[in-house]
Amino acid sequence: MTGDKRTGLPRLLDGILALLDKLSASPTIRKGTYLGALLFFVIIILIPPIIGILLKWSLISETLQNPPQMARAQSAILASFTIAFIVSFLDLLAGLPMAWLIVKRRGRWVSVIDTLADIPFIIPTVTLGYSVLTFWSEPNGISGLLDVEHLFSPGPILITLLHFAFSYPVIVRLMVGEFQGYNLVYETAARTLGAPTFTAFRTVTMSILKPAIIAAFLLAFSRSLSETGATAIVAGTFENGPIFIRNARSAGQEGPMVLVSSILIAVSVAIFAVIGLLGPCLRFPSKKVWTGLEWRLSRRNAAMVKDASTLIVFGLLVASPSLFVIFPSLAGLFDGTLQTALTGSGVWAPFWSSLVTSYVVALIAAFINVIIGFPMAVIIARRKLGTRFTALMDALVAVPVIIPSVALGVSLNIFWNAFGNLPEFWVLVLAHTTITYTYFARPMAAAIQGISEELEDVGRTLGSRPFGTFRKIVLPLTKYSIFSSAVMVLTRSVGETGATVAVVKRLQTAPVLLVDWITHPEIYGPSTVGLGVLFLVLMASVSLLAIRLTLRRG
Amino acid sequence: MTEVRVVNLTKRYGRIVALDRVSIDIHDGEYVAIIGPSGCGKTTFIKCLAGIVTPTEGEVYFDGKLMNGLPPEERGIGYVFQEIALFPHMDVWDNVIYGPRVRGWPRDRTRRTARELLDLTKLVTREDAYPRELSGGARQKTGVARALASGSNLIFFDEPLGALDAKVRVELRYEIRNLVRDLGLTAIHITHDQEEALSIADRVVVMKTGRFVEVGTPYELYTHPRTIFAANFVGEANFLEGTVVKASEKGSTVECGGGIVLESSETSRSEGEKVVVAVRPEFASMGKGHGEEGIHGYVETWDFEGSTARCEVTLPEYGLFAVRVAYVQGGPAFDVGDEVVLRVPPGSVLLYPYPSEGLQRELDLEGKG
Amino acid sequence: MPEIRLIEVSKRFGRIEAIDDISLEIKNGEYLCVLGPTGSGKTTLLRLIAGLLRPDEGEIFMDERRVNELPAEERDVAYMPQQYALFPHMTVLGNVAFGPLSRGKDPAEASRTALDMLKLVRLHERADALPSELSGGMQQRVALARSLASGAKLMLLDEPLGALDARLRVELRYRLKSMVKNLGLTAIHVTHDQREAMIVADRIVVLRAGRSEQIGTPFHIYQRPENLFVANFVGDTNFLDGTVSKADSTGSYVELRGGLNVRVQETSFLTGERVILTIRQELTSVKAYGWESVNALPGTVLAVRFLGDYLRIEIRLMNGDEVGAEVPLTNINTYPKIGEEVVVSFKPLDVSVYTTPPRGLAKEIEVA
Repeated sequence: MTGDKRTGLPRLLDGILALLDKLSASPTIRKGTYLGALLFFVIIILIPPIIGILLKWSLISETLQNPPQMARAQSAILASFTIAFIVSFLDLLAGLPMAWLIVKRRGRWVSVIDTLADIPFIIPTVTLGYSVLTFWSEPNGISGLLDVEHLFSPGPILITLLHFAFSYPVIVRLMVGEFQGYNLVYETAARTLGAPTFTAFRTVTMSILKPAIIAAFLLAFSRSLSETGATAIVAGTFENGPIFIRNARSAGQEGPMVLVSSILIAVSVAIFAVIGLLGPCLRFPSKKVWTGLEWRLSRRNAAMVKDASTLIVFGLLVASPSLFVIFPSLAGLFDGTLQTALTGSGVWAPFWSSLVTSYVVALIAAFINVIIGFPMAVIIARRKLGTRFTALMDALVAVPVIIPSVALGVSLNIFWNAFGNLPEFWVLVLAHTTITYTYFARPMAAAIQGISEELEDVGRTLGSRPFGTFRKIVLPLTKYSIFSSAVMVLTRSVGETGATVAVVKRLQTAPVLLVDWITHPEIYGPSTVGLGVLFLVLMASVSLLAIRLTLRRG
Repeated sequence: MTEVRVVNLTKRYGRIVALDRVSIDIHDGEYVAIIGPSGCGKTTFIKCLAGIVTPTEGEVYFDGKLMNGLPPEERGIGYVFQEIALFPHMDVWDNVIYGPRVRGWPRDRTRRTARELLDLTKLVTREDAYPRELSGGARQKTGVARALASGSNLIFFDEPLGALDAKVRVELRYEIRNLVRDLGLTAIHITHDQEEALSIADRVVVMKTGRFVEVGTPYELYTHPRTIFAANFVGEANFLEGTVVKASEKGSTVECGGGIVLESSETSRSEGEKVVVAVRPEFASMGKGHGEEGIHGYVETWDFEGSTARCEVTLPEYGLFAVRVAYVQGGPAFDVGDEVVLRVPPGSVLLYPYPSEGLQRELDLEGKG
Repeated sequence: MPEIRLIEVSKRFGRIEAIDDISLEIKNGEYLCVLGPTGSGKTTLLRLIAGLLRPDEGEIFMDERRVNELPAEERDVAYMPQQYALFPHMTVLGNVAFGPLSRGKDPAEASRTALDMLKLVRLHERADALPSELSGGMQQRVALARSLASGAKLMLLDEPLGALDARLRVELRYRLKSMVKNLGLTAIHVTHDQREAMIVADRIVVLRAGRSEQIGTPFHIYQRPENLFVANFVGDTNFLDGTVSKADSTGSYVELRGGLNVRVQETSFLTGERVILTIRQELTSVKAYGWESVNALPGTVLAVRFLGDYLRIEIRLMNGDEVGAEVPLTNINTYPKIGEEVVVSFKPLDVSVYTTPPRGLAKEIEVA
């Protein structure tokens, strides 16, 4: 058989592919790959955060017997969960109509709103924290405008406003996806049966989308619990869980730090387990119908009022606070700070090196998670280990997201240092890899599930070995998902503050450095901070663009 | 009872014309079926009538009242969707009473109506079941019961039987028909299955690329279709090309190549006109022999169908001609290779003007022509 | 020498017995139909033969070789699922050439084979189109070409015509069969449509709840259904419930509800036995009121259904039983009217007798 004129690299590549093909035919090798991915997940990702804390049990029991520390710890933990609950509930209330608006209304302005709504999600939370701080509590922001100096000064209210802003896009994005995938025929059926739009939505759509609504709530909840850096910026002297841990760490109080971490971990897992298990039993009230009222609510004017108030809430509480950072940033661009920044002199040298650290860690984390997370996604999507085990795996894969990242960092630090002193950098990498694991594995599993198994079946009967089927059928159809999920991992890692703070003392990532700058306004002026924030935002915008483009195509 | 009047209904999606100025009057209590290939616009049509899709032009009247601009919840209709779309979080009972409930009916009227319908559809034992626990047929019946429960007089069926097995489809279509008749409703039923339409409708509309090609009773459409497309779509037909050699008030004589001459009772074509001849396989009779009058050929294939057999006869210099005969007990009456004589009664020889764009385009069953 | 042999094959999913002890032999070049209602295990059977599933019990042989453990990619089969599963990201040509390429042919030769197959299904001019740009009928043809191009000798077709419009289905089934036969392939064609199976099959396997109810030629299954399920599933049949009242050397009398009597040619049932009578609807005639013959049951016309080339007349007999009669359109001079009193008649020779099943008739013939 002649005609094969390929030489050199392409020939080598062909050879490697052919080898992989042959290897994949062996069921032992396939099982080995899946087992390997599974073991990596369990041993490297799942176990350390849980075991780490337990290693310091003695410290925990010590602290439990110290009343003043206990009191402070308790109020911090209570604050965390209270704020998280309130914020998640309010975000659902505000986010659902927004998601509905984005999906239902037509016009170019809708995609503008859509992109704006994503911003608080993509930009590192630290920059959001600074923006919120300046918007609400600085003299040239709302406080100055309304002359209400103490209402919006750093403290619980400001924290709530911040958390509301950054959990909002989480809910909107999830629900937009759900509404788009939702088969409208159910609502149409309800309407042909005589139900006005509001009734149809309340009695049919909401119940069908209940799992998604619960998932959205939980996601917003975990984000609020977890966030450290931005919260530190707007907290002032107030303490929630992550702030407490941060303060304890810098004060060298290991006992309280470990205690609060373990409580945060335990209670988060418990709440998620309870809601996850009880969720299916929860029923939205759909039996009673108030015909008169609901017809009025379905009228066009009611819809307009709803849309208007949704947009006002969005504009005032989410978009403006997020974008306000433009002002100090612009100031930094035009008053000479830019030149200093670009030469890397003075405070800027550590800034640039922290940015490099951030992205190097993020890229390594992304790389590891793609390689190891993919087989895991296949296991879940194709139920390779049986239905019940798959459901368990699906739940376990969510654990790194459920646990507040700062607590996770504390635990990981203990665990990995129990084996001798690992260099800080690698503990940091491990921490970021753990936190972002779910951000790749879960969406990837969903994407693979979306590909009909029949395509693979046909491929096989046509003579293609498992690896060949994967390469020629599954991969091309999921490449957009792979890319966008990898970008999600990158973004999340770059924005992370809590785990970083818990794990490293000398190394600095960009957001952690920025928190330092922002909380020391006497050293770092607004132009410097503004410019630093701008650079971070610009880098993040590149990611946003990348996701938008692939989402549109995929 | 609801009377429906549709005037020049048009729907455009950009440059695609899904509905092209269709008009029809549907009487009180009439059961109208609309058939056509996938994508011909039949679903768009009933969605416009139901208010789910807004037409670009044209008017829709129910009982003389203009429906344009009214949303589905204000039109007082029942609609059975192709996917059925039973509410997954409600059991059969709750699904069926949904309509009365959202319309604010009093409790006992709601219960009575639901009971009655569940009785009629024989679903009483499945009242507490959830949609995922039901068989295809039971789901389908629940969808119908739900649509009928809200007391509308006008019901739309959108390929209601599509997802079901062949046997179940046949049983269920009569159940639906009887139910609609017993309740005295007007119904519009769309389907791609012409046998389904023929067996239950009072009138059948044949659609192609957004237009109503032909409207008639099942009998008319089957025995004397007025268009080639309908002749081919509503059942099988043999198509021959020929020229009219003689035309009188008593009938015409058509000569098709290969020495085939057919007598038709049609009088509307003129001498010398190029025509297309259509003959349904079941109206041709076949007998052994080679000397008698008729069309001569020999048996090419013989397919047992159950109660009938379908035979393809090769007509020399012409091609294949399909014949369907009632199956004779005791074994095949004809063997492959047998010489046979075909005869077609003049009443079953249908003539059409030769289409300007060629015969093949007219015959395209996917309606792309 | 049979090409495929299944010996006491069973497959379970959890506690559900999807395939229950099936034995089957398929000859080279045969066109076999697996006929049965949804959920009867037809697709599972196909997937077992394809190698996408392993049997829990029993053995599968292909050309005398035991293939239970042989993976799908090494079996010489072409599998066509119901929704075709065309690779959405590949062109028509890419789809059809996938098989030859996977089996090791070089790209040029694979493309040539692919184009040949596309010519066969008359789609070579759409070789560069994507599946999403094609109509249902065209997609079906591409799926077919893809199966043919793989060079496999065994075609496994899962409801190949199921996704098509009714009229198209009728048109394409003849073409499908002749294409397979002309290429000398063996085919297993799964369907729930008995009319389709009747027309295309050399032999039919009737499946219900994982078990094979009857195997035979279409003619054989139609004329001699082995049980009530097959009698109902294939063709249109009337069922009458009765008890044997008298038996003699040439036949028996069966008494129905309300004292109606039917003469049959069966002699193997004993007096007093409860039986079910079956008569094909096309062998049931409707005569004018007052007609006399061996079996003449009076009744009233319930409905007249026009089915194209024949009418189905539904009649309620005097005793409440309902029957149907199929009459070719050409045999009708005047339509019977609803409510008209008529006589239902059929020959004793045309009646089949079965023992009444313990679960009752309805459960026995239940399809949905």
